[in-house]
This record gives sequence, structure tokens and C-alpha cells, in this order.
Amino acid sequence: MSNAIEVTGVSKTYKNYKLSDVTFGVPKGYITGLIGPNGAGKSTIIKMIMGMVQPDKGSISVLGNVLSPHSGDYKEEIGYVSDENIFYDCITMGRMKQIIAPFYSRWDEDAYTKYMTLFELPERKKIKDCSKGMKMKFSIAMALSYHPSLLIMDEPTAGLDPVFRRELLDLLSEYIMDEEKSILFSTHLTTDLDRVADYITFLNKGNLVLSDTKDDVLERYLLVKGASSLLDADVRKELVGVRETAVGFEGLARERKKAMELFGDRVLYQQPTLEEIMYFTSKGGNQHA
Amino acid sequence: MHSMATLLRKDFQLIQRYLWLILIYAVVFSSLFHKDSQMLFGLLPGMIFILLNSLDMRISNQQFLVSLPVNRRFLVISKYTNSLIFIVLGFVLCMFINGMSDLYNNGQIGWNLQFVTGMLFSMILVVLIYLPLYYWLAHRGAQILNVAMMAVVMGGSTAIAGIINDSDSVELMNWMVSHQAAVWWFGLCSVLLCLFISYRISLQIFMKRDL
Repeated sequence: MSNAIEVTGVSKTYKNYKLSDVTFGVPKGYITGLIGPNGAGKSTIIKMIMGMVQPDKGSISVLGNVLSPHSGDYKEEIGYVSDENIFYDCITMGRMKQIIAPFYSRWDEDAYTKYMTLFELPERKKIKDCSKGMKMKFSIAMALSYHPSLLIMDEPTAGLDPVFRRELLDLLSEYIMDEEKSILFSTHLTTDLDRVADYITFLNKGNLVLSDTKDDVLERYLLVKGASSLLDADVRKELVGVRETAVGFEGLARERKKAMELFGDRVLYQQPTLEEIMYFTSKGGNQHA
Repeated sequence: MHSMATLLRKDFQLIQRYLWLILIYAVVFSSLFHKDSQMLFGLLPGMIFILLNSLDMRISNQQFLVSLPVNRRFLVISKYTNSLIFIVLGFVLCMFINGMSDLYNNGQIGWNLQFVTGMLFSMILVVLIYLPLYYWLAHRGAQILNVAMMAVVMGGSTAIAGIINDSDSVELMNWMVSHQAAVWWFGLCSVLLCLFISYRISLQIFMKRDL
């Protein structure tokens, strides 16, 4: 299986933040969710893929093109949805479309009209007068109107109402029906990924925690709930994160089999959600509630 | 080439909303209402240039430009090309408006070509200094840079008009008129050299910039 994006050993150092040696791939034909808490490095990675940020070390290849500061043409195949409005907000959506369309040889006016109608976006409205949700919808409409091979979306569901969020996820599922198309979707709203993602890449504090199929990730981890008396140093070592309450603890075990051998039938086992995996991994150590 | 044309088209579309402002300014400061055209030639092309560059100054808009299927080198080249095109168009507009008002007032057109050429060359030089600073300071120093630019343009136009009209400069002007070819070549080579240096500096800065 080939990758639409390959990120290899990428590092970037800022004053108060470091992205360390991140390596992962975005398989062609699937939806990959990029998850992690705020400041994990999701947007930095996406900006690197879009050529907005230059890595200090490592390489990125997109649809077979190894990126360099001189790359640009490869973006004809990418639909990019930013977490913030990057369009000129002093003009109308219709005028913005007139600016964007000529850059893409595969621009499809019918598709544009379809999405503008579907998203109920008035062309004559100035972008600055649009709500956050409308701006995001417009950005998605623009990205889909030239049929890109790769959709890269940075927090696209933030600011959207639940109804549209669900519609968007349906739209993405429809888009991915073509096996040549791929999606990289960053979010911290992991419930969206529970619905549509095939692969998960998890970043935390600038480090890659995991990158695998969603099913493998969910099967590998195990949520353990039991009495506090069971928590000794050896047990803690086996848990990615522990949350202690007045009545006991809950912890995330990295390896299901090992955890079951360790605890036997003295605890309750539960399948963790992506959110729980993210929570325990990013908090780590001991959390008291 | 297609990308360059599309980027130029983008600038035309963005500046359209300022068209009325530019036209009103051009008419108010034309020789229809003013004896000298210093305020018109000195400020209008500079104003158009600043309006043009302000539109792309915000980091979000620079992110938009970089998200397009155009490489960064083309973005810098187009910034230079479009700036020069708009400056020249600004001068053409000034000459047209002034010519028309001269025709209305005096029945004939009286362009001072020395003044216009001097202003055009100095304006181009200002642009070539401005653009590397624009890339270096980016959105952080945008306002300061624009205020400084307007001050330079205003001061510069007064200074050039002063030099041209000064009696001490008559000899120099006469020499320049009698050696027009040499002056043109010298001016052209200087501008080209400055353009090359300015472009290389801007490119160097923008290629490494994180947005």
C-alpha cells in the first residue's frame, strides 16, 4: 500500500516548543486522523506539508513529490482547509472564488455551485461578515471544488454545529469512495474520528505516540478500573496513565494481553475510546479526581 | 507564466474596492485644483503600491498565497512584477488626469517629462528598498513600514521637485539633457542592479519564512 504523504524524521525547534523526529505515513485511499491535545504539533506538521513551515530536519513527501522550499505545483492536487480563515476577508465569497478558481486546472464550477448551495452560503456576503462556521464551510467548499487527490484539513469541525459536522463526515466518506483519494484530518474532537477514520496518528508534546489503523489502536489499549490497593510501583509502570478517585483508580494499559495477565479478574476491563487514549497519554502519571 | 498572470489578476481584483478612493485622490490633487502636480505624482503611485501590499501583509493571507499551487519564488517575482506594474499604471493615471486637467485649464497638455521620469525612477527605487523590508518585517512591522513609506514618498517627491526646480541644479539638468542617452543608461543599469539585489534579499528572506 502506498502512502499519499510520508513524513520522515521531521524535527522543528521553536523558542518554547519542539517537534522531535516525527515519522508517519498517510496511506492512499483512506482517512487518517491526526490527533493530539493543543500544542501537540498537529498544525505545525500540516503547515510543513503545505510548505508554510520549513522543517529543521527530516523530509516530507506528498503524492510522490519530495518537498523543498522550491516546491509548489504539488498543491494543485491538495485541498487545504485551515483551522483559521486564510482568505481575504474584505471581499465577498464570490470574489474570493474568482481569485482561487484560475489557479486550479481542474476547477469544477458545477461542484462549486453544488457545495455553495448545500452549505447555504450566499456568494455576495463578505467573508468578514460570515460566522466561523460559514467561513469553515466556505473553505471546505473551495477545497472540494477542484477534486483534489488529497484533502488536508486542520481542525475542520471546530466551530461547526453538530448537524453540519455529521453532514461533513458523510461528505468525506463519499469523497473517499474513490480509492485514489486520501484525507488527513487533524482534530481534538476524537468522536469525529471514531466515525470516519481508518488510521490514527497521535502526537503529544511534539512527539509521535502512535500511528496505526484505528482498529489496531483501539484493540491494543485497554482501560482498567479497580481498587487503589492494587496500585503499586510495578503496576503503575505498566500503565500509560492513571486517574485515582476516592473509590479506586482507572488506568490505561498499553498492552491488552499483558494487562490481563497482570490484573486477572481483580479489575474491570473496558475498551477505551480515542479520547480516553489521548487523555491518559497526554496526562500520563497520576491524576487525582 | 499562467501563475504570474493569475496572481496579477488577483491583485487587480483586490484593489478594485479602492478604485474610487484612487480616482477621487487623483482628481482632487490634479492640476485641476493645484498649481503643481507634486502631490499627485508623489503620492498616488505610492498610495496604490501601499494599498496593494497591505492586502497581502497579514500572516493569514500569506498562508493563503503559500497554499496555492505556486512556489515561493514565483510569489516573490510576482510581488515585484505586480508592484512595478501598478506603480507604472499609477504614473500613467497621473499623467492622464493631469493632461486632461491641463487641457481643460490651458487648452494644451504640459507634461514635465524630467519631473515625471525623475519621480518614476525614485519611486521604483523606493519600492526596491521597501520590498525586502516588507518581507523581513512581515506583519509585525506592517503599519510602521507603511507610515515610513508614505513619509519617504512625500519627502522624496518634495526633494526631487526641489532639486529639479532649484537654480543650482540648472547646470546639472542641462548636462543631463545634453547627455540623455548616458543618463538613461546609467539610470536603467542602476535600477536593474538595485532590482537584482532587492529581489535576491527578498527571496532569501521569504524562502526561509515560517508562516
